[in-house]
Amino acid sequence: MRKFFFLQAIIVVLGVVSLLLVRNNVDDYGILVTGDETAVAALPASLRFYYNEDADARLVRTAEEQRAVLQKSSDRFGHEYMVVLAESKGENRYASGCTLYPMEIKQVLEGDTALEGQNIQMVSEVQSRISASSAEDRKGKGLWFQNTNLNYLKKGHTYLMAVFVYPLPGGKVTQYTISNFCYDLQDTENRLIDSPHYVYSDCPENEVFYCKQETVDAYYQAKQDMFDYYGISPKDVTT
Amino acid sequence: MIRTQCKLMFLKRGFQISFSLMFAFAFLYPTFLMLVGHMKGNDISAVPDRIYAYPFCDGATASDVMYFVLPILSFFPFAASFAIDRKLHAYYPLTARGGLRSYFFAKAIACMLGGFIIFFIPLAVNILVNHLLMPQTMRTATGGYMGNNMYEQYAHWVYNAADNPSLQPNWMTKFWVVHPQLTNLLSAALVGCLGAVSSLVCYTSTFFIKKYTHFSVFPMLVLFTAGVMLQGNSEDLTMSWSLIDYVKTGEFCSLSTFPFFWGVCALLVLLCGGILWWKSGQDLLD
Repeated sequence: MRKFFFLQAIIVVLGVVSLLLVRNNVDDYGILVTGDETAVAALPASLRFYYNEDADARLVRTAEEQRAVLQKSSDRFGHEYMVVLAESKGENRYASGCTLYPMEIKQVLEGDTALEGQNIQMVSEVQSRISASSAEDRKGKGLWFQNTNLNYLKKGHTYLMAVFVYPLPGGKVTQYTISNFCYDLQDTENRLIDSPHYVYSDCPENEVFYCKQETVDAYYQAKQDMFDYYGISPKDVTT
Repeated sequence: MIRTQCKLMFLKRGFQISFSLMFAFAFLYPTFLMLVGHMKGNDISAVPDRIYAYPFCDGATASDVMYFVLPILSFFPFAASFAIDRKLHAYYPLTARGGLRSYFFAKAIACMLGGFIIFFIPLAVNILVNHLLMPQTMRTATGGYMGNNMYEQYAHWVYNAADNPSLQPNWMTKFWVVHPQLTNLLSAALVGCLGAVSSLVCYTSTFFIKKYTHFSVFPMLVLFTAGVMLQGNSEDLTMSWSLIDYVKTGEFCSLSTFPFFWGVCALLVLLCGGILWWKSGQDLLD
């Protein structure tokens, strides 16, 4: 029995040491990216759309729903959130799990106003759909803009967005995750994806990719409601 | 008698080896996940969250092979003890005082205890280690990689079922979203229970499989495999034929057929109890 306990003690020591070693290695990398910018630029042209009419309607939430979700999420999981107007500086970077957007925070509507005027690299899981699906695309399976149906953030465009502030373990890195809503203040095109034959290069300027006009209308209504709620006049901000 | 059998069980090399294997696995699994995640992307978001580093998490790679591993591991602690006693004729002195029945049942209890311990304690340690040492990347079984996505993709559904009225969340699902690690601990206890039942079935099988006692893992192996095959690729989130699904975090939260799991476990325990009762009335000199 003594040997048995001795063996367990060895397992514990080796296990903890190996975990700590690997963990330190992971921490050093933080949330840096592996892909390069050209990879992102090269992807979209060949990407094809699958569309899912059933999914359309429930993807659009009203302004009230979105604010409620934001608040509930913050309450339940203890993440602070901000609502900001931020300009995309371009040079988006591409990671295995997300896309990183360098953004300049122009105005903080809710949250820590000390961040106003700062350049922050924001994370969006939204575009990981593109990266995940693009791997499939090379196998000929095509792309499905799932869940969010949002396009990339465009360089020079200003967005009204909800951002979750998420300190990563260790306290070295704070992650800012674009979440819930991200509305382009510029006028945007919205070509309907009403057949599965579209490729990304057919509609690169789309803000969203939906199959039905009523879904697009609902999206724009929610967008306008949100602008009204925060008292934003897109033209005043963008000009 | 029970204490004697339990002491014997703890001293058995089979128990010690299977416990050590599970214990080492408890540390190796999160290390492996971090190494793989790290190699994939040098990106913390590629490392599964501490919640997901639990091997019986729904969707975890390890959970897919557990239906095969669990019955085999649960055999080792004490299931073959009676077969060995019989071979060595060592049970005469043990049964002289308490009788054959209490001897059989004491062995059964020790067997179940062994089956429970080899799974529950290492898995509980795994949860603790994950909680202390794994990163909180929020890449979880509930979907998504980053920050808020867990809520976005899953919790929103939980608290706003209007999105998908056909999937009404139950209290267990809500508990899982809010207390994932406690749910993992509950899962560890369920795995322990399944290990205990599996161990008992293996032990009872040795009454019939006398020559090659290792084959006594087959009844549980067949039961688990049949469940997995019956379930196939069913997308029904509310019921499952596979017993392993009832111990996986995430899966068992959404299953509404829990009585099936407990029913099968109770049936197996009763069946084994009946066999032991019957065998204790028989002459063992064969």
